[in-house]
Amino acid sequence: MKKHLLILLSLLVVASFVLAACGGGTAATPAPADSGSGAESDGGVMVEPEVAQADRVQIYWYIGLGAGAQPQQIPLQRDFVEKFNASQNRVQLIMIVVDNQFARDNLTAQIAAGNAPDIVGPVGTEGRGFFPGAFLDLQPLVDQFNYDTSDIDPAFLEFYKDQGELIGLPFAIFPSAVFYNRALFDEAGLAYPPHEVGEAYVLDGEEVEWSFDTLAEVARRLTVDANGNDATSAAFDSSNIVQYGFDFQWTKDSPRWFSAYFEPYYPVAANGTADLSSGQVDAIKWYYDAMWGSQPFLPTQAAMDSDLISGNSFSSGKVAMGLTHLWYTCCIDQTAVPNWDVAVVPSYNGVTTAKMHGDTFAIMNTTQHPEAAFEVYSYMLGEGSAELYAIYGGLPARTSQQQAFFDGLSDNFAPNQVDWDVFLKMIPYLEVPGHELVLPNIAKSHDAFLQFGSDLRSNPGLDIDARISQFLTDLTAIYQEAE
Amino acid sequence: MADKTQKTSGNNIQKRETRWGLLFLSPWLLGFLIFTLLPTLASLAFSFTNYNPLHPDQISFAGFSNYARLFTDPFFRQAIGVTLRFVLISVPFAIIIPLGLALLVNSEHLLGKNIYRTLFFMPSMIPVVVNVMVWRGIMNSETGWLNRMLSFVFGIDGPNWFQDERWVLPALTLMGVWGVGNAMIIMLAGLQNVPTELYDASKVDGATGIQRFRHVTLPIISPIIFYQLVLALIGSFQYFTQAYIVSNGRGDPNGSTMFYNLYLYRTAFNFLDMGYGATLAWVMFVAVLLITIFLFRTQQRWVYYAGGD
Amino acid sequence: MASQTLGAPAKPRFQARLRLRKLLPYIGISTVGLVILLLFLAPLGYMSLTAFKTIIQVRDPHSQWLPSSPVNYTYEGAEYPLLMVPTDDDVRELALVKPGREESDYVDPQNPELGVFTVVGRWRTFDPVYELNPTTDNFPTSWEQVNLGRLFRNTIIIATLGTIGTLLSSVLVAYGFARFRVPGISILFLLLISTIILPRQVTLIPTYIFFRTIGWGGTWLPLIVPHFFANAYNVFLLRQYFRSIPRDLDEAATLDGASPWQVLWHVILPQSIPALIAVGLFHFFFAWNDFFEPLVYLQGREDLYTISIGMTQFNNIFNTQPGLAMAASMMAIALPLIMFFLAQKVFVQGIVVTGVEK
Repeated sequence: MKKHLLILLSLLVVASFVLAACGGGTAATPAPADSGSGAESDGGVMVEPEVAQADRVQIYWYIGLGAGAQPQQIPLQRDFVEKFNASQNRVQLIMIVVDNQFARDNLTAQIAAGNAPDIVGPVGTEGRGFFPGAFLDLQPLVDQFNYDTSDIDPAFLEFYKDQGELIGLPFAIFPSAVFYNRALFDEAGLAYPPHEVGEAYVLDGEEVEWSFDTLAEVARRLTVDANGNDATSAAFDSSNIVQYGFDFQWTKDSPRWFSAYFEPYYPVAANGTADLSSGQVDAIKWYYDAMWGSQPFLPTQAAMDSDLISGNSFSSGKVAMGLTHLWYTCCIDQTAVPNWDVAVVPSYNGVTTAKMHGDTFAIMNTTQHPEAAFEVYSYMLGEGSAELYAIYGGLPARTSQQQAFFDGLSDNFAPNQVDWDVFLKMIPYLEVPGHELVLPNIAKSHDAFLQFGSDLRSNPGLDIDARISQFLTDLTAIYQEAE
Repeated sequence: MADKTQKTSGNNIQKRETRWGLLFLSPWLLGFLIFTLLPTLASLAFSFTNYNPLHPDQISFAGFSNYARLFTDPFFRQAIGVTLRFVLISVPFAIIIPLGLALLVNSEHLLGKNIYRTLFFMPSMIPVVVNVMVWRGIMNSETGWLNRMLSFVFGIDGPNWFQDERWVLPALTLMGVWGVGNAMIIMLAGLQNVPTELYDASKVDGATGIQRFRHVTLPIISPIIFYQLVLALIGSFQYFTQAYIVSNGRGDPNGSTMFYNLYLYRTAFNFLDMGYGATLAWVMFVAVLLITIFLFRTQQRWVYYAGGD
Repeated sequence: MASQTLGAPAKPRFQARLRLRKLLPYIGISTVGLVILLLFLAPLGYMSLTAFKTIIQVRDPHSQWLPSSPVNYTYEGAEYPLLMVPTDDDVRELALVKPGREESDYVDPQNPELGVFTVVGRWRTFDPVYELNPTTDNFPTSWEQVNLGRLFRNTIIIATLGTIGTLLSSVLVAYGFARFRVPGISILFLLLISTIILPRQVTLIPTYIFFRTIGWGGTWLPLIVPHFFANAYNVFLLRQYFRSIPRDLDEAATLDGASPWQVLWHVILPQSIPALIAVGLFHFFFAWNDFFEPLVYLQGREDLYTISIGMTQFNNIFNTQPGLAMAASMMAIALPLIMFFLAQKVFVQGIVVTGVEK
């Protein structure tokens, strides 16, 4: 027996050394001289030479706080990096992709250990808010390099400032719209939602305002149980829903997000306590009722986690409308939803608000090579930007690039025709103030919103008024802790 | 005179034994000094500061204020409650199920033992992330197999496992039971230590299966059960990864999975309050250490070492 | 074996009954085992069935059990699903061309020249026609998407070296704790146990800073070298095992002039093979699944990533891909599984007694 053990052990040792030898320079010790052999082809996929090259300045690009960690995006970004590295010989760009769920914590550990990357992004206002004081003010670099911003809407430049500092140049903007599944509207015999702000919706032959109330009514008729009853029918079985009318597609985790479609409001009162506007309270109640009321039309957490939806509601083909941002074009399954289009965001109390995301890249203020980082940065937002817009599905902040971007999207989704102009029409209805403005004690207050949202999605028996006031008490305590 | 030589030679033997012992312990002692001691002391030091990992330069001494905070922190109490409840639910399972499985796959009457062992062990090799994914699917209240089986076999509507504050801890325990392969192997290794001749002797004496288990098997594997008990206890006090993934790192639903280590982790990494995080860690450390010492004290009563003490 | 015994011809009847009585425990235990195994493996079944489904099939309510797809009929260049539609006299297979709530348009594949006609009745209540349609695409796709080949190689190297290191060092240390009366040894042992009681989360950053200071950042060294210095889990287990081995054998060997090394090598180790294998497997799979530390330590070195880091790509919050994840993890556990199957043969009862000459 001992003999066998020894044989097994020695086999393992031999095997591991053989493997290590095959691994080129990638085994235990870092070998800068070996970078060439590291680039060998491995199972058809290139192993990029991530080992530092001595004759270049290394710039690390950290992806994962926002978009970019999708499996289908990673190879495209890799191509982008290779193209940049081939385009010049001073800077070596190295990308680091970390899954969204772990990106923030890992970055914290890296910063703490003095191993911060140079460039972070794409990342939104909210993602940047978790690293206060960690990013470089770009204004001096913009001045130094005479970076041209004349083509960018000044409103966008303002939108990208955090506490007065320009920590990211406007890159991609993501207006909102209602994505709708034409086939499900056809089946129900309902008219498509309007493509113009202010245009009426035709319901049962009558023109009605395209408001959240109208949307709810349409959504109920589009919610169907296994027997073909819709949610307005008396026989409707809410425990056996096979098709839902509506979802805040990936915009519902925090009540702060979806309530911004009803009414933008900064949830801090003048005296520093937590506060929600009446429109936001309405939004929360509307949302809760949409899941747990007598005529539900929005998937609950359990439904979201079920195999039928697997986390991506509109793309499952079982949800008729999804209100979300332009970036959602990343993740629509063309085989399940071949026939879709976009419509304008419904109004609340006669006012339309289109929540917007603005993603950008930021340079960390610990970088050893701010100029090299800015060189990469200029490439990302300039020469290489078209490629990145296509990867992230972001509308270029520069007007001159927008048409080419939409043409690219149309090619992706052909033969399905999408009215992309709807997104441009939503830009004037941009929310003020933004729903991602940094709150006091942001890490904890953001978290409190998320926990509240999770409770709304999972807990059928809430006294909603009591729950909201409980939430405000908790949030006030969190705000005050920061003082 | 004679007495003295005996004493010195006794001393010499003792000295030699000490030297040999230290020689054998040296790998760990070295490793402890090199890799463990510094970070441990650093974390203890953090607990007396306001260390923020993003701004290490702004660190300042905070005295005992972090420790004082424990008394007024409602989340601290909540986290203790969740963790204790989980320890009480899950530790018995972590002993009984692997022991049962080990006995089963060690039985001479089981045909195809190799296959059984491999298959029972298999789930514990599945990466945690996937493990959680599988169980989310299995325990989903709408499409999960578990609730379908419950309604098919017993005609009852299963609970909404991961979304229900009352059911999420049992759900996590069930998930843990699936991964007992490691513990089963340890128990199985322990069972190999039971000499067959003892079994044969007891068979001749006409002992029943249960008697044999109580008087032969159990004492001989008691050191392994003791090991498993200590580790299961430490492990459930430190329960983290699964909880982190299941609850989106926030203790969902509604704080019912806010395990102590999850709270600690959030404090240190999400809320960037490493000082208080370290405080939480050291409080837990002392508490679990005391429990461990207590367990070691009880050893004489129920753990049998054939090699003597 | 069982069938052989049962099938033996021309045996006296009482002997056959005796055989049967001997067989009963086999049948009983094996049945119990089978039932437990089935319960235990159900999640695994879910996992492997999902691995053979496309994302469409995962989400299809008619494909919740086996991976199946609707049968389509091509009419005028477009595909339409077949339904079992009840008509006046019988149930017919019709293709659903234009679904509507209360009445829908169909075409009859048997008589397509009839064209499209309307049938009143809710199409959702009609049974769709499905066929088994498993896909194997998830395996190559996930393999390439996360570069599983490279992850495999990296993980095997790390796991193997770490296993060797931990076996060598833990055996020595456990032997030291189990057999030598060193002053203060119980305090030392408590110190050893206490190293796994302090939550790792708070020592992560100082440990990482330390590794970076000595130049180990972005290398595998932090994941391998510390294991050559033993760890509490393995030492504790081996010590428990060593201590349950009676001392008379090593005392006899010592009297014969054997050094502690020889006692360890010739007396203790041969009796501890099951425990050694358990520790080896234990560590190997630990390295297989270790997640957060490799992620942090290997920052910026994607070429060095391990399997568990690669797996997180499938857990992306914005796009869960159950089929790909399950396929990848099935491949990821295949190798350890084979290793385990081979190694578990050492767990044979009584090896201790028969293996040592008395």
